[in-house]
Amino acid sequence: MRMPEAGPPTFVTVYNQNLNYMKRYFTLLLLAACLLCGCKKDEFKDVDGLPPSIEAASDRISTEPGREFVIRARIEDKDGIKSVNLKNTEFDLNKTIDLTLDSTVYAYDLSYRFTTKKDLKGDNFPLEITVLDRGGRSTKSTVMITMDGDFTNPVFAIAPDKAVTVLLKSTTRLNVKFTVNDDKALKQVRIEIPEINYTKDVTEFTNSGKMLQFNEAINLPAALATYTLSLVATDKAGLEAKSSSIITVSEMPDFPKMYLTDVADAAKLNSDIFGVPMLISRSGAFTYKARYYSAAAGTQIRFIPQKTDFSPICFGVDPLNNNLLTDDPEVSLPISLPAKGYYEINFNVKTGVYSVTPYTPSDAPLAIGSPMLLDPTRPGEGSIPLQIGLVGSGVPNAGNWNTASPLLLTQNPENKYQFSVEMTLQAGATIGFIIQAQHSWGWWPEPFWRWDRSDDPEANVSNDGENPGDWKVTTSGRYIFKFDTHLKRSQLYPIN
Amino acid sequence: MTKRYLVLLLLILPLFLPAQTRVTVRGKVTASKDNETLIGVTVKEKGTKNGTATDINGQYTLSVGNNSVLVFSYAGYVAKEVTVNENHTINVSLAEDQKMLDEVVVIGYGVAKRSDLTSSISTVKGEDLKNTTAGNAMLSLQGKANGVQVTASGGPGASPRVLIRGVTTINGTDPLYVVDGSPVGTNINFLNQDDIESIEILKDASASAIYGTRGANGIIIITTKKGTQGKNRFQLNSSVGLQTITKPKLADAATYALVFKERYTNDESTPLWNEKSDKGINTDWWDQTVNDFGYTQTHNLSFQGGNDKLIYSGSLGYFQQQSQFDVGQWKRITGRFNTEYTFSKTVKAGINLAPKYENWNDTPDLFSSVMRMDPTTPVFNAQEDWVANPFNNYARSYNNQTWNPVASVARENRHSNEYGMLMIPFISIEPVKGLVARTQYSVNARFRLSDEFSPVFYIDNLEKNDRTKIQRTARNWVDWNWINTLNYNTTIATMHHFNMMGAFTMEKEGDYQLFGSRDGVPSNHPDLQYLNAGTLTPQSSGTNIYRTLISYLGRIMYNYDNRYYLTGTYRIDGSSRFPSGNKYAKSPSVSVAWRASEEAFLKDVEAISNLKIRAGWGRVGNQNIDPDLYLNLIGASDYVFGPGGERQIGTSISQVGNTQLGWETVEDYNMGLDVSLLKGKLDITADFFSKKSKGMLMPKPNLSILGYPMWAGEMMTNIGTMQARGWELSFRWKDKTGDFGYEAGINLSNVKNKALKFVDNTPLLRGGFFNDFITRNEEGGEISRFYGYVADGIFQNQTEINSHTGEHGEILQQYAVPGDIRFKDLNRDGVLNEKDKTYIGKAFPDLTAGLNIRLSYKNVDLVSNFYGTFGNDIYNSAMAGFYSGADGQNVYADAYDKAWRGEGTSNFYPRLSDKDSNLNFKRVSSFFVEDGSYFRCNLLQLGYTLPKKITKGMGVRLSASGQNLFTITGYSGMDPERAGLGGVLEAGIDNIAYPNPRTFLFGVNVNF
Repeated sequence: MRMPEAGPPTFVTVYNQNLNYMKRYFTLLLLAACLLCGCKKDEFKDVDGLPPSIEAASDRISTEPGREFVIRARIEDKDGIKSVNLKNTEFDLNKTIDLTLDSTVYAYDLSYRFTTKKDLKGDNFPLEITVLDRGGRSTKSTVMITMDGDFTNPVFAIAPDKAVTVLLKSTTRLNVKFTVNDDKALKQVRIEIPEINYTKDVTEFTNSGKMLQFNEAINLPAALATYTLSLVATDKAGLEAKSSSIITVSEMPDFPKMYLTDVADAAKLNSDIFGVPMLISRSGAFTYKARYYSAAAGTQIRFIPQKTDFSPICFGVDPLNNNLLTDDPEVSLPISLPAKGYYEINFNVKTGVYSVTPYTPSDAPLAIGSPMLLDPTRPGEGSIPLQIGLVGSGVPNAGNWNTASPLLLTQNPENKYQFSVEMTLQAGATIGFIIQAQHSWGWWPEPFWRWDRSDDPEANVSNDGENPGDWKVTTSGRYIFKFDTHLKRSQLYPIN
Repeated sequence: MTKRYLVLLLLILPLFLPAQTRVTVRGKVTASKDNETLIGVTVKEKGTKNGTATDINGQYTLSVGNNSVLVFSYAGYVAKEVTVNENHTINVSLAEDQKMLDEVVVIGYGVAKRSDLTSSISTVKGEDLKNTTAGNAMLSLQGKANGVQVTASGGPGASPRVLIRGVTTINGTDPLYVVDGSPVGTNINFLNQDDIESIEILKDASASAIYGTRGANGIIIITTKKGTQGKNRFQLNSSVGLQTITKPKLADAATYALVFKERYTNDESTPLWNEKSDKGINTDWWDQTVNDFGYTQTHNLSFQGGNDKLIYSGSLGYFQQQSQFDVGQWKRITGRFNTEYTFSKTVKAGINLAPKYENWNDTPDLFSSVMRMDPTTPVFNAQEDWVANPFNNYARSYNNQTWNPVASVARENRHSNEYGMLMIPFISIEPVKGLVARTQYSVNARFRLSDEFSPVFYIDNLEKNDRTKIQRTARNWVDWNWINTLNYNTTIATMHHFNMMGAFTMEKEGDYQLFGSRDGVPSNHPDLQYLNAGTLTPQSSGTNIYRTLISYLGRIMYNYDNRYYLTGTYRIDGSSRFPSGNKYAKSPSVSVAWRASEEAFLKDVEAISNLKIRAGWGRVGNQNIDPDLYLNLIGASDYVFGPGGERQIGTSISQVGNTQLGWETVEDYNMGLDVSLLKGKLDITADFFSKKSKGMLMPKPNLSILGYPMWAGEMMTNIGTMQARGWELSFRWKDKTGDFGYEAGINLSNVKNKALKFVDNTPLLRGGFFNDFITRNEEGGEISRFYGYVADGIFQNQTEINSHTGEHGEILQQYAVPGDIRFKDLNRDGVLNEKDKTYIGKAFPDLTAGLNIRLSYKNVDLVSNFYGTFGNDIYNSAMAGFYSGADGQNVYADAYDKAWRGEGTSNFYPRLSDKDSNLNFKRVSSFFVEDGSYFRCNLLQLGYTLPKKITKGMGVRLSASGQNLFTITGYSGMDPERAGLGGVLEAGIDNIAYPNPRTFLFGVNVNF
């Protein structure tokens, strides 16, 4: 019930005051009645008259800011325990556990978990346990909470793909490239290929001992074979992170998937939330067909079978024969698209033969702004202009799965198949959305585009597909979402 | 010459006359209680047919034989005989019949003396209603009849909710109205309250069982004014007034901006503030949309008169009420002509004719929009941007999605005309004394034409209408009923009094509807607002709905020596709403009474005029259900499919009927006590009652195995049981000391409405609120109780949040920050979830009270009526927006100041937040629950009757009155009475609807 706020006395407040007086009057009456009848229920007599005993499981608990710890203790009192209080000002903790609500408690196993603030400053924090018994006697005990714990495993920020293909050459080399971080301090990183007895331990690190950026080539025997590349990062608390890749030395394989990239920096292959590099289609054995919109004359593209790096295989123009492609990332040159517009690139990874053909899409672009009936079965309900946008959760400036308030996409006036929108995302957040036509009533009309798969989607599915997963944002900043209705491809990546 | 002949004639004439000489007697008849003149008093020469009646001034003139005896008689007064002697001016003062025990009460298909009643029947006289100006007579009944809860609902033409002794069904709770013996449905908006002679409310089943299957919600019997023998009397009642609604205190543009922006900054995000809002505009949308006053007026001219053959009464009335928007009004013209002709001692016939015309423009439901609209937005776009279509020139809200309410008022175009005639002809024959056969056939015919036009306009992509739409609905209602009764009154051996009645009735209700609409009227021009002007998507539909009822009924009233009373009734109803085998229902009742005051040991106790103890039982039914529930129905069902996405017209099963459908029945027990003390100065009535329904119809899910489509997945089945129990207590004190007269009545009642059985023990959740429900109705509990979390103040700091955990440190409100509401973990399981919800309020009151006071001193009188409910709560869901500013809506003026803004600033109102991650304003909780008790001055009227020497004998009374003058309440919303409305399972939720206006009236009553 709401209590009236203080204010000048009005008729209403006078009325309420009268009610309050009446309540007080009745309370007094009840008290008097209680005294007359005797309050036998609350009668208490000391049993041993001693204060409670507290036996903490440990007088020191090691943790770290932002981490949960559990304080445990055995508490006993023959007179019965009234309450247990846990207090530390820096933790903003002053919790009283009331033990008088049910039957009398004589022994209590305290088990209380608490999570400290992530930005907590300081190393040692005494946490005071105060136990009050039914006789009004109290006992205090202090447990020291220290912030020196390491509970976080190292993390491979960039790791080699799980399956890496190395092409058999006169000198067969495996480029090992990875980045590992630890929140406290790394102790050692071991790189190991047991089949060739290769072992390397790295103990020198950057960023105050918290990071290792490794980029070295390992020579492999010139024979068709399969190896296991094992990476183990260990921090000073003994916590580990592992990465393992199967390295296959082979002749040119028939890759099941191939990606087009228009970025030159390998970091940009990994900084996206999805869509970079872009999946192209496999048109037959060893042959692939890429469709791509060149936003400007001179746009440079290459093709990679692995998503995280240009190494070990990157298809580009062979500098020795411009009519063929080569797979060596060290020598291959990007294909330069001569003009603005859509191109189709066909190539064969075995023969290296490729072709680049400009084309005009035959499907009609979306008629953004054209009337869309709110209810196709009842035209009289009116229409709204067709707009598409991002509908889902975690989308800035948009509702939560609300088609009435999507984050609207802007149509590229120069290429009406393309749409984009910028947004600011925070690290640690999750986002997930589909592309959907706006509807004032919150309906879900066509057109919409979902995904080929929930996690790390690679293509859009028109008026069908799967709903998004919870895509993690690892870096805060400005992002752009791009969508091409003709190519049915989307990208979401940072732009600063 | 002429004079001489005349003198001669006068001298000769007595020679031929009988010996008794005749004299002309004059005089005046007054009431002994207040010396007021009595109009229409019958003055008869005893033993002859010679007689007259007093005129408007209470005067009479009668030529009578010398030494004859004059008999003065008047209903409600003790008759008096005076011998004519030498004094030929005889002024008589009649004493009121203090006991009032022989007052005749209408009890359904007959009448009875009040002293003979054995059941609970309240009577309100038309006199007691006339001081209130209202479109619906039930509003004037508020607080005057105990056990009748009348809740007003605001706007012009709105019908109040009338509950008699609580709720025992979810299938319609309106009582049945019976006008002059003819059932007229569940709404009496058509009736001019000045035509009402009396209203009888049959409250318990022993009274209402005579109406059988329509008695479950009580019966309201209205008797209109009849003619009286004597001179013609005319009354003119007129009142004009203004009504106003208290303006809520809303934020201005500056405060709105503060609230809007702080919602975002508190969430550490950037306000989505429209730059156009910084142009210094401060629009008061209330002033722009709601007028300060609405106009209301009522005028009624009526007359009564008659002689020993023909009595008649008639009236012509006009009522008008405007809403406080520029649109929205209700007008009503009513006529009534009641005649009764006595052909002979045995045969009487008559007809009541009541034509009416109603006209209304729908009142838009815009208070919520007015209050939510962004005050930084101007009403209109800049004048240089104006276009030809004036509806396009209104501005779109800058910061929220609320539609411009001024524009909505301008576009509002819904209006109706309704014509009707209620005709009640009858013939009665009394072949032998005490035996009356009567047949009455009444027709109630109404015709309503409703038109609606939606203009084309474009304010914004989300505030527009691309195509005009015109639609017309024509509805005819033709109801008839034929009632044949046989009454026999007799007394055997002076001690055994019998009043017996048997009847056969037939009724048919017909509802005929025709609907047509078209889109694409070429323009918004008024000349084109006709169906034929539409160019696109013509649509039409039409239905016929019939309901019939055939009934056999009887009643025996017996009393022994006016001390011991027994009444029994029995009725058999056959209804078209039920399938074969279940069509007929039986409604028995029995009641007894003991009039202790007539026993020898009390008869001589002067202080006790009447002491009667009553007890009754009855079983009644409820047939307020759709007429087709037992039928399997096939309905139109379109589907879009095929290569072109074409709409295909088809049919599908739209309802699976219950071929075992039966009657809902209500069993009712009542015990009562009637006491009249101190020579009738103090009347006390007390009643205790208990009603229980059985076989209440509820939708029950069909077994999936039957394969019925999802939309026809439920079947109405006789399953539920509800119970209403309560008490009523009334006091009435009436006295006069010299020129000072006073009268006070207090009505107190209590009723508890409980659900006893629902479908599969499943609670019924009602009253949607952010994907949850506010009310929970479950077996064993009162209905319409609010069910949610218990708000326990505001987190003042992080320490309080960190301490609000389970026993083992489980975080209860993980998204809470200081300034958010703390919700109680009631079951102490360390998780805040559904299991922590509890009952946090209830919609129905513990006590309903009415207080009526009349004071008079000489020519001045004061009439007042107060009404209130106590112990009920209101779920003020409007607070969700008006203290949070959710979705950019405007807020109350104090929303910014009251919001939590640092430790100690508030322990009730949370911080402002756009995301509201803690669900402060989106979780059903006790935060929204307020005490809904109120005590309202319904009427305060000061009257002054002009001295007759000024008015040349006419009775002229001037009055000034205030209706809904003030309300004592702790409720913070607009109107606690209006907020208490809503369906019986979801009452007491305030979503901001048209509040009850305060009305100031000036009236004049003229009698001549």
